[in-house]
Parts: sequence; structure tokens; C-alpha cells
Amino acid sequence: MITLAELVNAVPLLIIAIAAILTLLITTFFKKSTDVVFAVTIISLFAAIFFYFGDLEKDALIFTESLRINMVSIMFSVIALTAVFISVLSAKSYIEKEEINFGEYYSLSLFATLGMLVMIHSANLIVLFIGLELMSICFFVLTGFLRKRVKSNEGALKYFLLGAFMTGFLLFGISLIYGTSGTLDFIKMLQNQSLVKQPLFLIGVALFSIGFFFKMGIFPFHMWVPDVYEGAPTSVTGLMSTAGKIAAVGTLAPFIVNTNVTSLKVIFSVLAVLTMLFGNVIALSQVNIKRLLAFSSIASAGYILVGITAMNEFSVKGVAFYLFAYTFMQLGAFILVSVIEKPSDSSNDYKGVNLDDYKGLASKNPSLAVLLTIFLFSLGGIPPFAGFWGKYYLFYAAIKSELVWLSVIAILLSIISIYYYLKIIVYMWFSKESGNEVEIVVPPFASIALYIAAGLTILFGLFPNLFFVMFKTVLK
Amino acid sequence: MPELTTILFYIFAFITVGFAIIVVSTKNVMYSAVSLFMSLFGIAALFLLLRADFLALTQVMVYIGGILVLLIFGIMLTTKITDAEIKTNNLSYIPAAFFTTGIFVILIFVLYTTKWNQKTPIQNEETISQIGKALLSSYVLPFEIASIVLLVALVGAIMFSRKK
Amino acid sequence: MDNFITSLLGENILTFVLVTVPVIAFVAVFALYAVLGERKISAWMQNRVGPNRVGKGGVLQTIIDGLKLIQKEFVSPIRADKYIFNLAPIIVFTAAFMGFAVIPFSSIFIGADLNLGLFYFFAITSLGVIGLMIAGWSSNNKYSLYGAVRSVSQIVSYEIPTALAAIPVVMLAGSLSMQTIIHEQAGGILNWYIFGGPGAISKLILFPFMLTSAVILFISTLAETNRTPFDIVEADSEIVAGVHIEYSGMKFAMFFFAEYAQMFAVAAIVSTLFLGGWQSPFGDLIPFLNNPWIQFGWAISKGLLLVFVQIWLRWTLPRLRVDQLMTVCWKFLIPITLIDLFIIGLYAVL
Repeated sequence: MITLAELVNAVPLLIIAIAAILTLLITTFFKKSTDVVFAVTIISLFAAIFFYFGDLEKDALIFTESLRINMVSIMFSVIALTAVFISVLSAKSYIEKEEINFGEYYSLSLFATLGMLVMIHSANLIVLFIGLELMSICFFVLTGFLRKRVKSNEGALKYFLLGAFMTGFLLFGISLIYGTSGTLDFIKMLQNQSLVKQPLFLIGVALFSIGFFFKMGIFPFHMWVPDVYEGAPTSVTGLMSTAGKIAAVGTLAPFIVNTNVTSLKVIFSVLAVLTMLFGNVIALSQVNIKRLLAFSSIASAGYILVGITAMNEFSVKGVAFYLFAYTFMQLGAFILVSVIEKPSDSSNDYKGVNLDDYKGLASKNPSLAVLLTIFLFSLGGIPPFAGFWGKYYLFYAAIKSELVWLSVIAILLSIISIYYYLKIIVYMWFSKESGNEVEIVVPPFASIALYIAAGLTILFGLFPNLFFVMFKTVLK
Repeated sequence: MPELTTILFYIFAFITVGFAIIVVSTKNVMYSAVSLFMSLFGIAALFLLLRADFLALTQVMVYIGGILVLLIFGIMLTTKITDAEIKTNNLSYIPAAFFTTGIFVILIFVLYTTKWNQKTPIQNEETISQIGKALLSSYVLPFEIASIVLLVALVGAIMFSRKK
Repeated sequence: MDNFITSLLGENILTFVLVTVPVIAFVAVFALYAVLGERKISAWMQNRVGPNRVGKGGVLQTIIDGLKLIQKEFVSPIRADKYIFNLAPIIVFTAAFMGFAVIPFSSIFIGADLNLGLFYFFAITSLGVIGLMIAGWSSNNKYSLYGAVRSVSQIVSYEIPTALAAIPVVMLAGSLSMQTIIHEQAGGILNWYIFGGPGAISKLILFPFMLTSAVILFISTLAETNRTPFDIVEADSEIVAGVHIEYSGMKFAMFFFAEYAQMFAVAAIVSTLFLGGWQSPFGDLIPFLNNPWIQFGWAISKGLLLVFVQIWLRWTLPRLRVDQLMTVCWKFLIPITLIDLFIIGLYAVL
């Protein structure tokens, strides 16, 4: 039986689930209700974050040991919810601009959020898989939301086909894990020390990881990232590249870090190097800012994998902080792209997303230019922004596990990345615009989202410890 | 004389694998679909030999009665696809052979080194009531979320098919 | 014990094979005489005489027809896809016949009393649609293809109300096994599930809902077997017999056999679920009529009665249009069955 205490612990999830279904019902039965739906979505997301800081039990298994509420899962859930919150806040004006102002957009975002939370909290493999599917299906649909654009449809199709294919890997891995361990429960699995010596279990874990690497965009499972990120509506790209990644990492990292197997370490470190190399080098030659940010997000996945590879007590903390910082800077950058993007009526392609469109932005709208500069500096890992500390904690974890070579490579590659971030900044501040002057209007909600993101990027850059204080004292 | 179930296992395993090979190697889409029918049927029979009767029938109902029907329906409605020659031959034999042999060797190695988690076979128990109880007690959360997944899939399908 | 043959001769492969013999024999004889019966009944309804030349009153007509079909050459159209073209009637016939494995003819005779009998029936009969589809495609004829497309959309849609209308009985009986469902309906006509099943309160409350479920099950099984008024799959006047158009000789006969076999199979399912199967309507009043051998008579006569209703409807009602067909299914049958399901489920829980 489900007890009241269990329900209390699951309040954030219930809020999101109820809000998702409620928004769907409102959209179905009332026409022109998207403003209401937007309000419900924002309030429910805020309430869910609020309740996470409330009086939850700090180590509980609920719903017949299906969900696990603990420090790590709460931390990742809050980060994911924050990402969705900022993303949805900024999405309103964007979907109005693109004439896809349907209530389903918010419902699907909320359903995706539910999937993420279920995934992050999952205590066994079945719950994990279903949460992942819920999130993925929502993302497939959201990617193809802009149906008048061929690129959007193309992205949705590619994402769907590859995603379905990768689900096969994940399921195969799950079945092998279950076959060797005889349990679906993570905790029981990790307690059984003899398991990690079994090759079949390791193959299972490797296949399981492949499914997640696909969602994170790790080389060689990254091929969908540029096309899907470019094709998806920009607000959705922001959501996918942050919240989606947080959910995947937040599920995989605690599990993998606890297995602590040397053979996996070797594979993971090689993949991390390749991912960072690939992402950063290809990003150098991009002219479309959405593609550029897509490749930079592949590189970021590589940095995260460095932290996971360390497999020590600093890994999860480092990964969490990096993701937290990453949420603000990446999401901020995508919100800016979505603001600068020009509405185009019948065209198949997105307009105003090339690097040339950013020439002379500083003279047109200096505040936007300042904000984008902050986000890009942070992405490049330049102090005093949050991104610097994110990378610092990740590489610190790797050095603690005597993976100095990996950290050195990661630092070198991240220096390469500064080149393409600086290129945009130079375009904004020092290039003269060639075309006609169109004033860029920043819609109110998007500007709130932007200032939140920028403010937090600076705040956590100046006081990185605040993050750990927040999740230690407030939650404990 | 081996046991009847062993003989049946090999027959159905042969049907499953043999037709699965046809599915991927034939150039005719319709032949692929029909071979898939046989292969899925073989899998259902293998489930029966494992005394998983509910699973076997669900396999028949969902995969053959549902998914395969949709598949063939899709083939029939798509013009020219039934005559299209699909490319099933490989372009790069050497890497493919290298890769598959590698996987094969790894699988065989794993097969012999793993301590399989064996359970004593259960005789003639009513599976459906146990499945029902499990779904509504220990797996009630995934069961409920699965319904949400289906709802989302429906909403998604409608989103894609609504007028632009 | 499943049936008297295995209990007499023991359970081994040979007896399992033997069990199928009476079923095959029954289906063959039934199919032959149901065709004749259909022609006679239609003639009677239309004030005609019907077949009356071969044998006394035409009793040998369909046997002669069958002989004629057997003698015909095996023709496959040149442009047809031979393998699939020849495979299709086999699949259709096998699927129709496999359903008989779980049809109870008596308390001492059923092919196999599976725990999942009803589920098995719905799963196996859904295979037939694959046969129809590939028959339509492989004939390489546009009418066949239309017929196949129609058959799929119809059968797949009507599978839903069929299953939903059967679930109330499963909920009340607490089992999917066909024999258990019939045993639950013991004790005379008023205990049949069409009247709400055993128990005085359940009769009072459930009678209208069970009746609607029964009617909907009958309607949707009609659609599953492509009988009029749901025969848009064949629709002679529009698409000249649909998927059957290129088939002749024994291949056509197999489709024909399959259709009549399925008519009886679904009639038997409806009678099992709602009309007490082989139970005598008099219950314990006349114990003699509950003799296991007389139960064969009850099971078959209830089946034949429903087959008669099917034939009756065919010669009374006009054919539905495709859109009407879908409207009936999605806008009427499914919502009504869902309401039924909800109320009966609520009763079953309480």
C-alpha cells in the first residue's frame, strides 16, 4: 500500500504530473488558453523546486522501492527543474514569434520534466527505462514542433530513428544486467561485489552506458546532436541541451561512480578525450550559431565524462556543479539566440542564426551583447564565471584519481574552445554590421530568464561554495 | 533420444533465426515483413517453451496482430515502396567481417565465462494472476508511468498530424 | 480434465493429435452445410427456392461445389507474387482454425483448456488479418489492394470493442479460462452472463450492462469476420470481392472455409461468454440434460443459433460505408463498452 509519508516525499513529482495532465486538459477544452497554461506551468515548476527544499525525507525508498529520494537525486532534480523553469519562461515569446503557440508545448515540457525526475529518482532499471522513454518521446515531439520548417521535421525524424535504435542498446544492456545480477534494483546490484568481475555484467553496463551516452552526445554517439539542435525550435534546443543532459548524467553518474571498475575507466577516458577533441575541433569551423553551440555542448559532455571517469567521491559533486553552471550559461546563450532569431513566415530555414548576424550586436543592443559575452566567457571557462569553477571541480576530481594526463588534455582542449567563443565576441563588439538595421526587441519573460541566468552565472562564479552550502545545509 | 521440448526448442530457434536472416537479407520489403511474421511467431513459441504463456500470447497479439499489421499497412499505403529495391549488400566487407567476428568472439567468451543466474523451472503455474498482482503492487509506479508514456505518444502523434 | 480422448488414452503426442480430428471434422461438415444453409435461408427470406437440384432439396449441392473447386487448376496470376500469393490462404485458414483449440464443446471436450483461453483466441484470430493483407497485396490487383486496406482498418479497429466487451465477463468470472467461465454460469438460463450472471443482486444491477456488452461483442465479432453489414472488405458491388478476386479453385475454397469456420468460432465465443456455452438452459431442473454428451448438443445448437442470426442479418441489412463503419466503432461501440467496463468493474471490485 502507498502510505501518506510516501506521497509527501513524492510531492514534487506529483505536482509536475498533475500540472502536466491539467495543462493538457485545459488546452483540450478551452481555446486560446495558452497564457493560463503558461502560468500553470511556471507555477508548478516553481512549486516543485520549492517543495524539494521543503521537509523531504533525506534517504527514502518510496512506492515499493521504485523511487529513491536522497541527496544526490534531489540535487540533480533541482538542477533539472531550474533548467526547465528558465527554459519555459523564455519559451513563451519564442513560440509566439514562430506561431506555434499551442498549449501542448507546455504540457510536453512538463511531461518531459516528469520523465527526468522519474529517471533521476529511479531505484530500479524498469522505472529508469520508462522515465527515459517518457523524456525522449516528449523531446522527439518537441523537436518536430515547428512543422513548417523542413529542418525541424528532419531533426525530429533523425532524433527519433537514432533514439529508437539506441533504446535497443539500453534495453539489451538492462536485460544483460538483469540476467547476471538477478535483480533490477541498483542498491542490491551495487552491494553484490562479485558482479563487477563478471564480463557479462560489464558488457551489460557498457551497453547501458551507450544508451545514456547517446542522450548526452558522447562521441561516437553524437551524430544526431548538431542536426537535431539546429533543426529543433531554439527554445527546445535549450531545454534538450541542458535539462535532457542533466537527467541523463544525473541518472548515470551516481551508478557508474559507485561501480568503480578499472576497465570501464579506460574506455570512458578514451571516449572523453575523443568527445572533447571532436566537439571543440569541429566547432571551430561552424558558421551557424546553433550548430556551434551544439558542438560546444558535445565538448561539454566530454568534460562531464572526465568527471565521471574519475569515479571517486568528488565526481558526483563536480559533475553536479558543472551541470548547474552549464545550465545557466548554455541556456542563457540559447535564449539569446532565440531572441535574436528573426521570425520568417514561409521559409524552410531559420533566419538570423548565422555568426554574421551577430556582427555589430553591441552597437544595436549593448545589454544583449554584454549578456552573451558573459555566457560565452563562462562556457569557455574563464574566471570569474561559474563555468570556470565547473571545469575546475571536474578536473580536480580527475587529478584526485591520478588521471593527470586526462586533465591536461581536457584543459588544453578547453583552451581551443576559447577561440570560437571569442570569435563571436569579436564579431559582436568589433565588427560593423553589413545589412540593414533591425531593432531587436527583448520580450519581458525572456529578459527575466536572461537576467536570472546571467545573475546566477556571476553569483556562482564569485561564490562557488554557495552551491555546496545550498545542497548540504538546506537539504540535510 | 532427446526430450521433446529440446527438439521443439531447436525447431523454433531455427525458424526464428532463419527467418530473421531473411528479414535482413531479402531485397523485397514484403518478403521482409512476411519473414518477420514467421520470426516473431517463433519467438512466441520459444516463450511458450519457457512456460511464459502470457508473454507468448502478448507477443502474438502486440507484435503480430499490432505492429506487423501496421508495418504491412504502411508498406501497402506507401506507393512504389513495394517495388523498390532496397540495398541489403554491404559496401565494406572487411571492416564488417572484422567487427562482427570480434563481437562473436566476445559473446562466445562471455557465454562460457559467466556464472549464469539459474533458477529452477516452475511447472504449470498460472502466470497471468501473478503478473497482474506484480503490476499492481511492486511495479505499480512504472505501470502508471507507462500509461503516461502512451498518452504522450498519442499527443505527439496528433501534434504531428494536425494541420500546419 | 480437458477432454475425454486424453483421459481415455492418456496424455501423449498421439492423443493430442487425435483431439484435433473431431474438431476438424466438425468444422469441415459445418462449413459445407453452413454454405448450403445460408443459401437456403436467403432463398427463404427472398421468397425463392434456392438450391434444389443435387440430392433431395439440394442437400448435396455444396459437396458437389467442393468437388468442383478441388478439380480446378492451381492458377496464379502472372504478375502476382507467387510465394506470398500461395501463402496467404494458408495463413488465413490456419488462423481461423487455430481459434478452435480453445472452444469448449462440452465439459469433457475442449481442445485445450488454457488459463488464457480467451486471450489466446483473440491473439490467434488476429493473425488472420495478416493473411488477408498479404493476399491483397500479392494479387497485384487494385481491387484486391483496396480490399486488403479496408480489411485491416476494419479488423484492427473492431478488435478493440471486441476485447473490451469480453472483459466484463472475465472480471465477473475471475478467469480467462473458457471452461471456468462456463462453469461459473451453471444453474439455468438466468445465471448466464447475458442476464448478469449468478447472484440475485448482480442480476438486478448488471443486466442492462451485460446485455449491451453481449450485443456489442456480437456486433464487433460480425465485423471481425467481415460479414454483412460490415462486409466492405469484400463488397462485391464496389470492389468485386476484394482480396478474393484473383483466387480460384482450392485456394479460394480455403478463404471460404476460413470465413465459415470463423463464423462458428465467434458464435461459439459469444455463446461461451454470455449464453452459458454448453450449459443446459434448464439448469438442475432436468439433470439429464446436463449429461456431458448432451452438452455437445447445447454448445453446437447455441453456436448454430447465433450463426443463423448472422445469416439473417446479412440478408436483412444493407452494407455500411467506410466512414459509417469507423464512426460506429470509435464513436459508439468503444465509448459504450468503456462505460460498461467501468460500471461492471466497479461492481466487481465492490
